[in-house]
Amino acid sequence: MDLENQKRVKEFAEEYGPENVVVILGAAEGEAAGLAAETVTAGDPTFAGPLTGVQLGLTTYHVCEPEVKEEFDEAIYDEQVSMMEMVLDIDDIISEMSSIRDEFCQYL
Amino acid sequence: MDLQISMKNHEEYYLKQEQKGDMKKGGRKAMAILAGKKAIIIGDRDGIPGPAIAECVKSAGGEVIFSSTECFV
Repeated sequence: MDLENQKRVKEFAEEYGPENVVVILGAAEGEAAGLAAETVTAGDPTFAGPLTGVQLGLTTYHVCEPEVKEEFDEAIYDEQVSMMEMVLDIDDIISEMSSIRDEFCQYL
Repeated sequence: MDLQISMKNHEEYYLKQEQKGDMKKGGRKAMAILAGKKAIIIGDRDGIPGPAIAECVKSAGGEVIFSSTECFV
């Protein structure tokens, strides 16, 4: 994850409390989604950014995962996301995200 | 026999709750992930961009506190 974004995520988690913050990702691949999810839960796996060694344990989902998808307004989701959803490997994304959530999320 | 009747009532109860929208499939209580929460959005230029996710999150009752679109090029 972008180093500047890591800094912002850390600041927001401190400001609002990690239990009140949800991170929604839009990564194109399961691996990228998993890396971003790991960064905001267990800390930066590349040891490069401000979240290195910081285990925020934030709740995180990919926008195409069924758990959050069912909460969105269907018309808005269709208009904004469904076109891209068709070219993404959703099963891979779901499998990466759920394994990170099961292991590191502290506020589910 | 009694057990069978009781199980049937149980299933009917959960089915009714699901139809009302109070329960998710399998009887788990529906808990909103986004409603009333602060949402940080990390979009992707090659995937779903930040503003598109922000629109969806707002429609689910989440408050967008930060939205960004990353680029891995």
